[in-house]
Amino acid sequence: MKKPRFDTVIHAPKRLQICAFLAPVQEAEFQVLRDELKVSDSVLSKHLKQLEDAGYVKFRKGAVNGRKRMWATLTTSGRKAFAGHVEELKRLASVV
Amino acid sequence: MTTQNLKPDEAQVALDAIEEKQRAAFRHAVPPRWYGAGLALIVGIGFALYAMEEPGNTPGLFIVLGLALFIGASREKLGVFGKELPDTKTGMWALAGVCVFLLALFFGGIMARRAYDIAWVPLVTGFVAGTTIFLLSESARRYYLSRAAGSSR
Repeated sequence: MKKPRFDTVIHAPKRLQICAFLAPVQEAEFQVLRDELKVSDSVLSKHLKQLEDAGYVKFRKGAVNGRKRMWATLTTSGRKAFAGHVEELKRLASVV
Repeated sequence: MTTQNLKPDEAQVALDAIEEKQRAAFRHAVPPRWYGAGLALIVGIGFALYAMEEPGNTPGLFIVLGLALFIGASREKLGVFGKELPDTKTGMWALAGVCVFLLALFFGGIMARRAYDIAWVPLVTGFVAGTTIFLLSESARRYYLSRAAGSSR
C-alpha cells in the first residue's frame, strides 16, 4: 500500500479527474479526456500542462487520417503521487 | 488546500469522483473483440510457421513485425488503451503461467514435427497458441467490463 500523501497539484477537481481517468489505463487520447471531463480544449490543456510540469503526465503525439492527435499517460511518479493522494483521501474520509 | 482543512465528507466526495472517472476509464478501455482476434491470428500463424520449419520461412520476423504493426495501429485507432501488463500479483502470475505454456507449446510443436514429421502438428500448434491468446484477451475484456460496472475484482 502506498504511503498517504496529500498532493496539492493533483487535488484540484479537474486534475484529480484527469489522474483518476489515466491511472487504470496505459494512455488516453486528448479528445476522450476532454469529452469525459466536459471541459474545453484550452481548460484541459492548462490542467495537463500543470500535471506535465509536475512530472506527472507525459504525451505522445501522432496522426490519424491526417489529423494530429495527442495521447496522455501518467508517468511512474504521477502514478505514485496519485496512489499516495488516494490513500490520504481514504484516511481523511475515515476520520470521524 | 492542505490536508488540515479538508473535511471527511469533502474527502469522500473526492473519492467518489475518482471512482466514477476510473469506471469511465475502464469502460473506454474495454479491448474490442477484433483486437484479441487480430493478436490471436498473428501469434497462431507465427507458431504454425515455426513448427513447419520450411526453408525461407521467417516466422520470428512475422510475429515481431506483425505484433508491432498491429498493436501500433490499434493504439492509434483506440481513444483509450488499457495497460499492457496486469497490475496485480495474481495477474502477473497468470500471465507468467500462460508464457510458460506458450513456450512449452512452441518447443513441443517443433520437436513433435521433427520427431514424427506429422503434417498437422504445425496447424494444431498454431490453433492452440491462437486460441490461448484469444482467451487471454477475452479474459482481459471481461476484467475491464467488470471494473467498468463497478466491481473491485
